[in-house]
Amino acid sequence: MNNLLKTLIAILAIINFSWIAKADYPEKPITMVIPFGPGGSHDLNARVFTSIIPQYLGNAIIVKLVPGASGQTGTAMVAQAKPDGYTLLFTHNYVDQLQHHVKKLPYKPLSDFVTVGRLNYAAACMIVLSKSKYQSVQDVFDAAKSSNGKLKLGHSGMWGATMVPMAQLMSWGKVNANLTPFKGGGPMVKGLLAGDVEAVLHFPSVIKGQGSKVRTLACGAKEKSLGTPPTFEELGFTGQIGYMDRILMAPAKTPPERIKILQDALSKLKDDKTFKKFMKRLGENMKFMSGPDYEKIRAEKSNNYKSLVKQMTKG
Amino acid sequence: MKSINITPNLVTSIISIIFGIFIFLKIPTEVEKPLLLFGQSSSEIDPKIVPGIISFMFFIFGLYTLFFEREDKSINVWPSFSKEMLLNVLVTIIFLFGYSLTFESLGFVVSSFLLIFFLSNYMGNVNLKFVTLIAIIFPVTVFFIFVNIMHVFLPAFPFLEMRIGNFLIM
Amino acid sequence: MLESFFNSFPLLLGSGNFLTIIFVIALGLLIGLFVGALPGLTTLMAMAIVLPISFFMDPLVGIPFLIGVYKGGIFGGSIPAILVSLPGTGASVATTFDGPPLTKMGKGRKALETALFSSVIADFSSDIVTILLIGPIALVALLIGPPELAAILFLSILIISSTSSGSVGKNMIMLAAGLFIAMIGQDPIAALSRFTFDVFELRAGVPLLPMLIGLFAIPEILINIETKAKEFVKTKLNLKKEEKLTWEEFLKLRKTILRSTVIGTTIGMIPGVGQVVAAFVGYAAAKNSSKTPEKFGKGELEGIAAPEAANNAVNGPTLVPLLTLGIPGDNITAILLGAFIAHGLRPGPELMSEQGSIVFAILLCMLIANILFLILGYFTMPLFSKVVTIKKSYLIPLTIIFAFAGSFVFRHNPVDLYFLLFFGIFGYILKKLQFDVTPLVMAFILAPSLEYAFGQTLSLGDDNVLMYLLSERPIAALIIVSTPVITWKLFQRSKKLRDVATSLTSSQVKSS
Repeated sequence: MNNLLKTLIAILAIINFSWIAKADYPEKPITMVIPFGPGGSHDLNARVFTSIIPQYLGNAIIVKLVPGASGQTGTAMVAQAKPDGYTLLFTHNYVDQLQHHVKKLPYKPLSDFVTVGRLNYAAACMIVLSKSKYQSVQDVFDAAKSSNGKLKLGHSGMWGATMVPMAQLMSWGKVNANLTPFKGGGPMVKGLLAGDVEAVLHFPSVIKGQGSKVRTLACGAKEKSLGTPPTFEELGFTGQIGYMDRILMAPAKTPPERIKILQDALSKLKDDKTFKKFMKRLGENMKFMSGPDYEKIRAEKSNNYKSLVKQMTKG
Repeated sequence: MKSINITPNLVTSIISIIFGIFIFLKIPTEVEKPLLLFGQSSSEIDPKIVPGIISFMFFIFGLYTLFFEREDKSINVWPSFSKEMLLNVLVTIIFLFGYSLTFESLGFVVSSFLLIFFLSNYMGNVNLKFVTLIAIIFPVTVFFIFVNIMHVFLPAFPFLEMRIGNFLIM
Repeated sequence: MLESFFNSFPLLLGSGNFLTIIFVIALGLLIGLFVGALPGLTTLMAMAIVLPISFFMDPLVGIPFLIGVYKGGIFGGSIPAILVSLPGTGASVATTFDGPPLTKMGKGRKALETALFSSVIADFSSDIVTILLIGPIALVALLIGPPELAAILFLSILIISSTSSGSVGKNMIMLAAGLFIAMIGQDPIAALSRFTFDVFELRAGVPLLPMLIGLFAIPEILINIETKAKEFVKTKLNLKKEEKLTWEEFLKLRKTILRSTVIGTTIGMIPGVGQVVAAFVGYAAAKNSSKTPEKFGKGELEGIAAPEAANNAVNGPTLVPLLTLGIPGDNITAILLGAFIAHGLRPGPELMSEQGSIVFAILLCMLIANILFLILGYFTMPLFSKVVTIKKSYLIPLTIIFAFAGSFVFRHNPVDLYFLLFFGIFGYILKKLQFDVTPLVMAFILAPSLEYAFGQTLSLGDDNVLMYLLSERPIAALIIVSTPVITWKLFQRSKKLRDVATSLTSSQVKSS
């Protein structure tokens, strides 16, 4: 009996009991919810990001994948979580600023979340098969017009990162086309390669893998690695078309001093050599934007999407 | 008049038919209407079609079972239950329900401890001290592996944090 | 391409890394195996966690490491499926038909070894086929588009439903039930809510793993509890010497394994179908070709070999779209894609032409992984099978813990525990009333893909789908036309089997 007691005391000695009280933030690992499934670009970016940030933050950030309902399940989970700075959301602009215009949500993205920072963005490009006759975005538009709206275009999900820019372009160019959905970027590219659809939008990191099989017509930003095709802006389409911002959000009621700690860690992270190396390998850029700066453009983007949706759905 | 033999198939077929009708009636209220996109519906298949097909299937196959298989003898018997069996099953279901309720409110480790302790004792043939030991060690180990190594979340004890070093153990 | 193939050998053997690679593959296999064997922890999770670690390794070391975890994990899920009827993934569901009965007969180790050998042989064979035919397989992947996929999935559902045991009507009701459950939530294309009764939790639909665990594990648990504290394994036998798989028994399985390998490899070539269908079709095919189909589901070794071989044979060809086109087919290949990219390799047509030897080196590593796994598995299986020899009063609560933990971590949503309970009770009732839940599960798993592919077909076909199918997609048209023929034949066959079963039962009744 004595031995047992001694062992118990020994064990208890190493266990740290602590009331969940205020201490130095972060004094335990932080949870970062990703409202998408595994294997996507957010997942990959997050893995790189979370493997390096502990040194700047003082504690770990752990990824929690909560897919479902086009991002609603994960977002709702963070909206309802305790705003103590230990639960964050890693999402993108279409879920954050557009979705509430097309769906009834149990939370209000703009008022329930505040931006910690934009990690980077990915700018989509329009691609066609190299063996096709399209040499420019205008060619595609002409084909759409002459086929009376029957031209087949593809996208990877309703109101998603490859569909919204496509819709924006079509609305700018005042053309109609047949938009076929695919279950994600992979099947969408396969659809292009197989000739099921004529043109799609996708991100440079994936396009590079296709090599000479595809031709890039235009991009959301200057892409040297793809031969610097014209940007959408240069062609006359304003408004950051095709940008998928990868943004880290916190529940709005999180104490501001904790958000500041996160933001400081992020800004140190972006200069880290290993981080830059891995992001380069992933093919992602490092266009970081601080939380406050992003907040300034967030409401405006939301309004842009609102008018886009209105225009697209008025039938 | 022959009395109707209430077989499982009979019950199933009737439930199926009623369920089919239920789905059909609920379609107008339970199916969200698609937004129009550039003048066309944004949904390729009219959203009413899928539930419609399903309600039809329940209805038709309920009828089929009713007419053709009501009297099928091969596997159409009610299972036999002794009072003891029924009691065991019901008690277990109650335990499981309690487990679900306390899973989050008491945390994984505590609720699992309770489940193992009570269920093992209920099932009998156990050594009390050993059961208590297992009921503590096992959930803590599972918790440790899931949370600290695999980085997947199980609910922690919400009132007190217990850590060894930086590792959460309960 | 032949040149790349031959260059891969010196790449692999020469770099001095070879022993490291072997070690790392073995380590990955063990990690994957243990993770897969823990119900609720999926291969996907294990790979996602190991991924950042592999970033810091050489590509020819890091990627085989992930592949080891992958292969170990795929098999690992079969262990709890066989021992305690807890399926780790959809693919192990078909193994829960004959696994647990065998375990209860004291043949758990035999079942595990059958699963091991079937899986490894099938995987190895399909990997060789993949290496030899990587070009043609890539072409097939391109040819299979939405219309073809829709037709194939539809046919698969029909094949599997028509070979389920029990009466036609009941099976079709199960099918309808599966479709209904799959429908709850948002539709796959436009994300419109259907039958969510304004409950937000239902918007994401019914979660797969809690439902599977509920339908398969909980009823087993409840049935075991019916008779309280008796031994889990009926043991009048001396358990010190647990029955190994004998050579004769293994030889009898070779036809089944071959058939399942072919099925699995073929299905693996078709992007979008997957391991679950392969396992079920393999099982159905084995049952159909067997002279004693009524033994299936009661502890027949073929019932283990068939699904296990089929679902592993999918692994090789599944990687082809990733390696040749840079297109991941599912979540797991998406992680592999991330691993490739992080190592500076960009899978796709470019990789095949410029660094083809690396691709072949990786494929060779898959073969090595299989051989290693055979050895590792052979030594670890006896350990696992001992688990179920502990007292029922301990085993059952511990299994419940795993069932709940596994269901919870699927989506980190506490509501899923209630789904688990609901489907547990539902499954128990169905089992007692002798319903075959296979059509339900199949419909649930395949319906979203089928609906999506169908919707895509309508979109591509624009106004005139029929013309589209006939003029541009002959393969799909062919499959659609042959569907009624195949289904009719299968129905006839299973009716014959049912009549045999009925006459057997009634003759038993008469004689008792």
